[in-house]
Amino acid sequence: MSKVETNFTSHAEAMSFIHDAQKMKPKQLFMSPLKWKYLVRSVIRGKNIMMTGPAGCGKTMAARALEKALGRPFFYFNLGATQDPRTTLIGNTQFKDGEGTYFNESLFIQAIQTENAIILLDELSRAHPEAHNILMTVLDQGQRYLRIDEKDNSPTIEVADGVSFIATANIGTEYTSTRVIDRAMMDRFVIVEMETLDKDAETNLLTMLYPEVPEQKLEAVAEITSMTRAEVKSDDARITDAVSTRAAVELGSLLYDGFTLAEAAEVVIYPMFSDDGGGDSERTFVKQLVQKYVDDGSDEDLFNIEDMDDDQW
Amino acid sequence: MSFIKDIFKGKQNQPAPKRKSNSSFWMGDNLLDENSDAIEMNSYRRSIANFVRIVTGKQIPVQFNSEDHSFTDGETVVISGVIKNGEFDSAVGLACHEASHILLSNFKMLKELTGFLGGKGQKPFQTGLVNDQLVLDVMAKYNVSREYAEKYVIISLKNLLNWVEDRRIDYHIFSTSPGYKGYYHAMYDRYFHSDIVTKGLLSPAYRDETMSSYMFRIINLTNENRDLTALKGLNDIWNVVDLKTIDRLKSSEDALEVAKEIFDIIEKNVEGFDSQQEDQSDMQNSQDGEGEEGEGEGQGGGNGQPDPHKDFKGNDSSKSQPQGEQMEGDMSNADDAEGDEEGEGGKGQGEASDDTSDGEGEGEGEGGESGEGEGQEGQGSASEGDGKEGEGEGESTNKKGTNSAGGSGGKTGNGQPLTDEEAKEIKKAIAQQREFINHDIKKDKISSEKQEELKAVESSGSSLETVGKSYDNGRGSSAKIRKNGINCVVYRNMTKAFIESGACPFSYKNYWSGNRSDRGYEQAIVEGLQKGKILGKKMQVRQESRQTYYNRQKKGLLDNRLVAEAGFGNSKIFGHLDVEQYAPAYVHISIDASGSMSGKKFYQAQVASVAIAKAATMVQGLDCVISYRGCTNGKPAMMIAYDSRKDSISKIRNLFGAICPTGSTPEGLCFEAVLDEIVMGNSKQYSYFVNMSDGEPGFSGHIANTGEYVSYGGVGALNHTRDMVNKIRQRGVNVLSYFIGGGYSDHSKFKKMYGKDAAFVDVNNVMTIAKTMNKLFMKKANK
Repeated sequence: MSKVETNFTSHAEAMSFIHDAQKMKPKQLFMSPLKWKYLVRSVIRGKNIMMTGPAGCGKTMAARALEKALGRPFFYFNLGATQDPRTTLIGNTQFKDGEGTYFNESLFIQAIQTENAIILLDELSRAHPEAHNILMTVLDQGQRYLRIDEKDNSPTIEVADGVSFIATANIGTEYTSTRVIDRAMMDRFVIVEMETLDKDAETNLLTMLYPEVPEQKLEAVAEITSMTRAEVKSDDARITDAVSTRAAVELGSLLYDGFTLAEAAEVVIYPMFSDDGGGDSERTFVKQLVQKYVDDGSDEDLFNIEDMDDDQW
Repeated sequence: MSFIKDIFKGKQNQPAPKRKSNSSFWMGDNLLDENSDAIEMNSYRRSIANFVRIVTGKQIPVQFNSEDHSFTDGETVVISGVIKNGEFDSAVGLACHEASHILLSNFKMLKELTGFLGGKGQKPFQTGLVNDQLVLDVMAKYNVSREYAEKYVIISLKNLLNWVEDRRIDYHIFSTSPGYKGYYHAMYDRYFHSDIVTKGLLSPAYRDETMSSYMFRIINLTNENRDLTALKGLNDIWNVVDLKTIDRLKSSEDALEVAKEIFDIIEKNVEGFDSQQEDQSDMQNSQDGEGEEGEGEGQGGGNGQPDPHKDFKGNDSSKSQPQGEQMEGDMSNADDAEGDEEGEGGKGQGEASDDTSDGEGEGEGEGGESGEGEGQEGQGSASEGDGKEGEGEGESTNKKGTNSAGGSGGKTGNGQPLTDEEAKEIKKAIAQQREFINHDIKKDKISSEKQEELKAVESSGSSLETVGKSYDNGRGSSAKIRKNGINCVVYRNMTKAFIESGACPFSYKNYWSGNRSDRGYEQAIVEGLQKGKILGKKMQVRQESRQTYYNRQKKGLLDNRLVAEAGFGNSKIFGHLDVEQYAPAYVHISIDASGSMSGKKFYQAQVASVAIAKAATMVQGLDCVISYRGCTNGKPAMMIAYDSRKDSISKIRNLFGAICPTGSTPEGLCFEAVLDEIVMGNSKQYSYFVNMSDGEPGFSGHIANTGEYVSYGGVGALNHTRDMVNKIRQRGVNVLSYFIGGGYSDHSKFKKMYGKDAAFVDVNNVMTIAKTMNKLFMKKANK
């Protein structure tokens, strides 16, 4: 098959490796076994992978987990924070006294020349269009080269064997400053759609991260976040944004630091939702939701049975 | 690590500080007061519906009614919309309660239990849901017909089941939603733990071994003043219910089993039908729910001395026959609601018996939708009489009446005997409780006028938009506005009912019924429609479009006829089509409806705007919206009175005469509130915003959330209005502003807000606006 398979002595060995992938998955990463297996398989087959999903759902974490699991060279490029794509991805020409001009190649060039490297192209959906153009040939399985300059006969850098690109992207109208990734670019990737964690998975994650915090409190956080996600997806949604897993982790950390749930919600959750419109506002809905889990200090005895004389029983 | 855990134990178990109301968690402390306007009321009412969504996790439609009913049929929750300050918590509790029915109750089983009463489905004795022996026992014990016995058993079981089921589901939400406990306490305090109920429990009343005594004391078992010795079987019932472990009941079926056990205990102790037999009145009043288009004539109470045999044996059964429509879905059922809405409004009737208290026909006459069922004078209802129907008082035959709300005799309680007044109050409380367990909750009465207003405001599509957060007048007051904003009321649909309700700030409430002085602007509408016709005819050329096909082009679409020439070296084998037509246009006319516009200025503004609207109806691709701005109850207000995309011109003809100016000029705040409603313009569609006003922006009112009184005016308001106008422009909208008449001390202020194109028009020449618009509408766009 591909050259990557040279890492394995046989197809059977590769198959075995793929099917044992679950053992390599770090505990902190909550991802379905199938998707993790697909991710591992795609990397060892040298595929480019596009991880999509809402903000804060663990795309970057999954890519980093892959690096650790496979023990491969790893390079990270945040394309969303890149102002000059050409410098970041190719390099620039500099001048040195006595030596004249010389080309200072970028880290990206080193990365693509590193065999079996995993290169994380984070926030691809926020990248400058020029970055997309530069990457087109690099990502194309039939080309796999980077042209240093546009001049004829300018040198090209071949992408080394086994290099796998993992890109992350937010896709959806709710993400501002993102760009539409054109079809040709999308076609260069296999897509792994990251799911948002369900309530149980998120509770497990929070419990693992903050074992000192009472589980009941962490469950409440997970219920709040999962309810906001369900609400956003409904036809007649009261809110336009959901609380992400990243925000849930932040809530957990505030609980860990001694904040009450009401306080944590006030600083983390409420600012995400507009209070315009009074009773009709998104914030009102979210406050009502959070309130469900914030003990109001009322008597626990709804039926007035605690103080009954024994002879009344 | 254990140290940290200890900290958590201390910290996390510490309950939140007690608030003055649970609702203040999400409303703030700015609760509604008696004078709250309908808009605020609607806004907070709607937010109570959120609890249904949160509790169920489902998209359950929530409807509000002003008919004083709250119930659910498992698919929809209907909440009474009449909520006063101080009752928000119990109203939320009620919403959670109804929602929990959807989440936890088995409506199918309930239908199976009671469906046959309405002629639907098999009898539960045939399906095995209820043991037939219960019916046989009742027949033998009371010597009644089978038909009556069946109804007696099912109605009793239904009531008991509803009570047990309510406790089951209430406890579930109460114990799993620690933040909602306060709502449940408020609801229970209101319905079951009130002072008057407590008094009744402690009094000598309701101590005779009758079904009504049992029902009263069972319903109030959660009251701490329950007296388990008041009735022979009450202690056994207490043990059977075992509220301490109510969570052992996992389903409605479990609750039914408990209800059966309770029924069994009651029947072992009840010696005969009592004069207050609630079930009997239930059965009689089941006629209320027949849905006879408002002609329901429920009996306000049972007869003072009912002859059970008369009804039980089926004599006169046409009157006593319970109609299952009413009863079948008491968890509750939509059919039930239907019946109530259509059929309510009966008469308080019944004969007072000697041994009953005050003989007053209790209840409130409810006309329902059809409004035909007015309460009439009752004639001494003996029992608590269901209280649903007939608000009337009858003469008591027991003038001394110191007892007994629910029957006399029996043991003596520790409390004092009830006075007539207290007995009356207890009857009301019982009626309310029975409605609660049957999910037919009456909220406190609100005046019918207020109800109409609520309905009308609901139909006006009103909402509150928070605006003014960018307002800055350089003083402290603007900082408050920036922090909280000001709520601007936006009415999106002007209707006749809305105008007549008096809630519409820009109209004569009595336009149709009042004197001629309320019809001052009627002629403006007639005049505007006439002038609009003339304008419209001139604009009909807008209907035309011209298409030109250009062939032999170097690019474009391949021209089939020239393909063959390609072989001969002709590269000009393409073509393209040019469509020349009038661009669709949208015009939003916003009229300053402040008090200063009164008289000729507003008259002329009406003529011009109506003319444009009329003309727009005569051509295609031209949409027109007319809005008025001013203020109401200390809030800026913007009313979209006409929108040609959904309204017909007859709306202008019929309703616009009622529109009149009033209030101040919160110009920029109103613009901000409708920014998103103004259609954006581009090269393919023209959008115009036409402003007509006569003064500088100025307004005094309340800021959102805190309700503090603030002013909006001066340079700050000018700048804010300018910023909003610029925002409108940024949407590709052409802003045309006309200052009508004199009044501005400095023309530069007007131009500062609306730009150098702002025009000043004489009050006698406002129609020039319409003519200008006409020219603009004739601009063409290429496609």
